[in-house]
Amino acid sequence: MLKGVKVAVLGLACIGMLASAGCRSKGSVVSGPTAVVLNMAPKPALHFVDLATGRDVARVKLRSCSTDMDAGSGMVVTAQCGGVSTDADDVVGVYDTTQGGRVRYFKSVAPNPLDATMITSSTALVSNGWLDKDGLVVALVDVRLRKTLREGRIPNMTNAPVVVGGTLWSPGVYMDGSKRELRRIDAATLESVVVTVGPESPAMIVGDREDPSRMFAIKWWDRHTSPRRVEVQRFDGTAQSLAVPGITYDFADGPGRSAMIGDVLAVADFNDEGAPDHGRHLMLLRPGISDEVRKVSIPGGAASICVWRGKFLVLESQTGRIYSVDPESGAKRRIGAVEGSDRMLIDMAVLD
Amino acid sequence: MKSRMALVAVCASLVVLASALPAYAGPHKSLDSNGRIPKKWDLEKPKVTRHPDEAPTTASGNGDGSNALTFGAFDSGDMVVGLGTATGHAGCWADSRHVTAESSCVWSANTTPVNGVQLEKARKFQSYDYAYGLWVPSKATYGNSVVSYCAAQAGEPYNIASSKTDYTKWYCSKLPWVGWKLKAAVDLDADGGYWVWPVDLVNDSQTTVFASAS
Repeated sequence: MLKGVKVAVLGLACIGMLASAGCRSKGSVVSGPTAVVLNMAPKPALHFVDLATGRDVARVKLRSCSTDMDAGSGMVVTAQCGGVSTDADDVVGVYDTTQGGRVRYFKSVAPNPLDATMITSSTALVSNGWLDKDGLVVALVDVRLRKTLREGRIPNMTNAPVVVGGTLWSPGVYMDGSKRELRRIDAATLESVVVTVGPESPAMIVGDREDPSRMFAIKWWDRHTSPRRVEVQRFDGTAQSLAVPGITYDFADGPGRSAMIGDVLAVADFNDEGAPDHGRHLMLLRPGISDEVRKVSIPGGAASICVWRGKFLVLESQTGRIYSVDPESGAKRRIGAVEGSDRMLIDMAVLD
Repeated sequence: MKSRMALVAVCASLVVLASALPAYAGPHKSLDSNGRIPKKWDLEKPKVTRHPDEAPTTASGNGDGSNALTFGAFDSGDMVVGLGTATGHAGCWADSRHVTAESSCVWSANTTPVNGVQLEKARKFQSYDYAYGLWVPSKATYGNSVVSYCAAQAGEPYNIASSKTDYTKWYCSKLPWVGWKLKAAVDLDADGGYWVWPVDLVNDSQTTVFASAS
């Protein structure tokens, strides 16, 4: 009798194990909502933090130095510029979280890939530091097929373009430093048009990935003043117009990473600039709606901010902790962390 | 009355000019009123390290270090140097392109397998064991000219074996070195060898460290 019960318990345990294993496809490193973190130290790697348990559940090695990463629909894409001379690199890394295994690579259309931005569930824009007379080289790539679909040029681009409502936006500066501009880039053809040129053109664009009418323009700021006075203006990407007068906010350090949910703009007052007084806050703003500023303390600096299920997720640079921040109340809750004492955190994205 | 109108016209022109120029046009660093280098921008240099005057066989710089170099005090023409690998890395800072550490605002040269003069991210220089920001206080006003020179070489090929007087082929530290040599008439190679390594720019007595991190 007792032996029969033992066999039954063992059988049930086996079924349970099989069932739990079945939650993941073969080789998958994620089984639910997961934060993907690009970490350069002690060696270049992707970390996968399970947002249900908060645990750093997997670490996948990258073959060389990467300066940017993005993720979506189970895919992670990295720009692999590598190091210097014989250690430089020129590939795009693709990791299929549903398959697991190793990161797979394909050659970038030009040397020095610096940024990777997911556009759709299967395409990404890879921007390079390599340039010619027509601008910096970019490529539309298919991350599932691991091939380049189209090559293009974006003149004067300073930072990775931002995807808003399926369109790419790129603030830039003329190569001789004389003028600023904002470009709108067709995500399919990679052809660009200048939307604004001159002092009104922003330094940064923050937008809703899905809604082109929801964008904020963060203007250039004077780095010599303390506090740093930064003007933020609503921008309607559909009408291509600045919707209401800008509002000026005081930053201790300067605008760093940013994201938006609805009318709430989250901007890290921390940009690795080495100002005399680091901000180390997340600023929650409602430009054009309210003058109120909520400051959420992030003592170790925000290395990255993204949006997940109506909350901001903030990756703390010095500690590797991941916080959830409520856009309305500013309430902060620790929900996970990147393991390891030696880390250099570059970016974070969420797979849901 | 005419002079008044002229004054108004001049003022209006200045306002227009000021609004057209980038807000970051002024330098972050300058000499004090006595012509001395302020202490906060005159940090201790690392102990001088010498290197053989030969082409390195490897760079061993695969993004496997880290440092917390900050970029707030960099001006156009300043040099950013990463050390801790066989050769290190170097580039010339273009401040007008700098928004955050993610900006491609450093002119440098690199290879693998065919490459050359290009823009690099500031962030990349945080992936070395040590990193330095260098300025040339006695010639700081030449910074913009040096950047323009470096930018004008965009796309030209990499060649570690090129001589210092070959202005058609480049490696990382040679680019800003030539820029400063031709535009400001200063030779920033500490040991005067065939090659100018990144560490030579740090060792040179005419450069001053204003930012450092490990």
